[in-house]
Amino acid sequence: MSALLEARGLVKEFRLGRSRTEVAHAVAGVDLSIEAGETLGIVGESGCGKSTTARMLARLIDPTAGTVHYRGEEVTGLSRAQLVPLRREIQMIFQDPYSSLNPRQTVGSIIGEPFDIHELEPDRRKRRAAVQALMEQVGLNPEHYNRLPHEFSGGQRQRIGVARAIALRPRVLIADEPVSALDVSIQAQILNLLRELQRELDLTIVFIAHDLSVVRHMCDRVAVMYLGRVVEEATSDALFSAPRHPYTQALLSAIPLPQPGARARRVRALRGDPPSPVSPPAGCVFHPRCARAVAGTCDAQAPALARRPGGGRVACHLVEAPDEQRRGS
Amino acid sequence: MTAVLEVRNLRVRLPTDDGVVTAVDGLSYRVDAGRTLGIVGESGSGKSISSLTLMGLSRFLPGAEVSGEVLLDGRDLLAAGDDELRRVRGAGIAMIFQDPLSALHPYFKVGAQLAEAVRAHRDVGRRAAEARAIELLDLVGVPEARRRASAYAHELSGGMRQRAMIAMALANEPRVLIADEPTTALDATVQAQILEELERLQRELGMAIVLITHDMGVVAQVAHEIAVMYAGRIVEHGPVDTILGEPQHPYTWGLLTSIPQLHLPRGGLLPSIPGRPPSLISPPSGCRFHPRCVHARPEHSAREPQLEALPDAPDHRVACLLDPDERRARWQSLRDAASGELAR
Repeated sequence: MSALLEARGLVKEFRLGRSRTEVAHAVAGVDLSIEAGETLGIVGESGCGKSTTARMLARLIDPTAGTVHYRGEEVTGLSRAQLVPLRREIQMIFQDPYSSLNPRQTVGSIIGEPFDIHELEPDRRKRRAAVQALMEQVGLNPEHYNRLPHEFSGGQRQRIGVARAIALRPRVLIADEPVSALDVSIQAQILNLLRELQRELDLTIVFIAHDLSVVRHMCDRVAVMYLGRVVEEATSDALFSAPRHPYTQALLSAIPLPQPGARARRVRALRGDPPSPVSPPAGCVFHPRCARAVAGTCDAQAPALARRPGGGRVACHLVEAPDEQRRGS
Repeated sequence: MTAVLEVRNLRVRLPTDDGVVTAVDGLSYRVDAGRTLGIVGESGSGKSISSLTLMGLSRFLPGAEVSGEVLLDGRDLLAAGDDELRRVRGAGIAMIFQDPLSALHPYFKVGAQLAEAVRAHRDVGRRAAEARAIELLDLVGVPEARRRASAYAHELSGGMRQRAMIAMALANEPRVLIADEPTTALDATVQAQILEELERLQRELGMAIVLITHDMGVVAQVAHEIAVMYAGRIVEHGPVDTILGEPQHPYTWGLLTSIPQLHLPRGGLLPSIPGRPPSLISPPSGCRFHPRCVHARPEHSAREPQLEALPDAPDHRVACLLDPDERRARWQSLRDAASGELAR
């Protein structure tokens, strides 16, 4: 099976400071491939580069280096005009349903805007019918066509964002923290909506979140990012039942479980904060916080994200040897 | 044991353009020294307004009407004068907030702000206050406390800022710490550090903690008791393991089952609570949860449930009109259905 959407060696650097001499290595060489119809989760803590990666995949920002391929074709070098057809295929929904909607535009015109941009449905009556069908599809009352965003609750606003994103029947939906601003009871409604739409529209989803329980629920495969790099990638079932990278293990053990006896079962938290992306540590970027780091190896050599026996990829010197080396023995 | 903090029948009414909002409607609870009460609810449940009221901060909300009693070591803070309240804030009750960046002053060094908090309640010199500031940063686990004391808030990471705010709250060893969503803005690994730290400080200082959060997982880690709030009222209250293991209120069921669970098979649709929280200007009649409750009967819109102890568990109180045995059976089948539904 060939990948529908692929990132090869993606790098994004931001220049900081008044003299622009400091460089933040937000994304430092990310390879990802997303198969048609699957949901790939990207998880990690703030500053790990997951949102920047998502924006590069959606071609909203240009990578400093590396390429994005869609259906085998490179889309990184395309001009704004050349990108227009791609925009119909790849759409994005955002975390904050308050700031991602124009407060002065009616809901009908927000959801219908993609039709205008792509010069579809010029007939006003047909356009309105199409928008109202979309509203119905995402669980909004079509009679609210002329209302303004502030008249809707947070959950409903996220539905508006989803309706706008699916208006052009995209193949790929990139969702950046789509439920983290919502109350838990509303979260479930939006997660269910995304699942139903995925089935109905045959969507491929890239799901970015910091909440691991939500990611496990939604995703077939998960990539864990730390300081601009993918440190582990595996199927959801494998990652959550047997995490292999020490950072993934720490991340999973930090999830507060709402179960009786949780107080007693708590494990010691990972120490310290993630290092600055301006001056990432030498060797494995996780080694200063890693309880198992080996001096002379982990602080000297950067581990490659290598395929492992049993599937998945892990970037760690301490995890069993990659396939290639095993084959020889 | 005597309660350090006891809230009796607290009611807060706020005027708005659309009418009077009864944000808190008859709230009662008590917390003992060294114990943590978790107050759980969604936006608009009244959990944050009630905590501002404990600090006497509702006096700054124009037109707010507050009634009931807030007893700190038996003294009613709602009846206290402004001077007395100023003495109580910090030394009696202290508070930490979700967003440390907006709670710390951007133009003053963290150490100077801490020293100011120390001097507000103690007659000590500048030098002594500054030394105490460094001691406090060290206490809450800020590495290189001396160096960090001369940093500005924006120069610290989110976790460090939250520690600095906790240090400020603890400056005068309060009897009660109110923590309003203290870890919501933090990453999972940093959240775990802060929760660990709060628990250690509680052990060392013996303070009572009221932890306000929307996250059932967070209360499960640190609270001894949980009170679930809905539409300005407590709908269920009990020991942490009882609320998580044998919840009796349909709203609590909704909160627990609508989050994806790591120990259950994955996939499928999540059971969600239909609709959204009601307006508190004209709350629903009878049981306030009845419009969203799939178990509600027609008569539940007419009768108001009282928060009552279960006959066989005096420390577990529920405000629900369904029969306790029926509730037990329904929770059981909900749980079975959740594992079954998700397994498909």
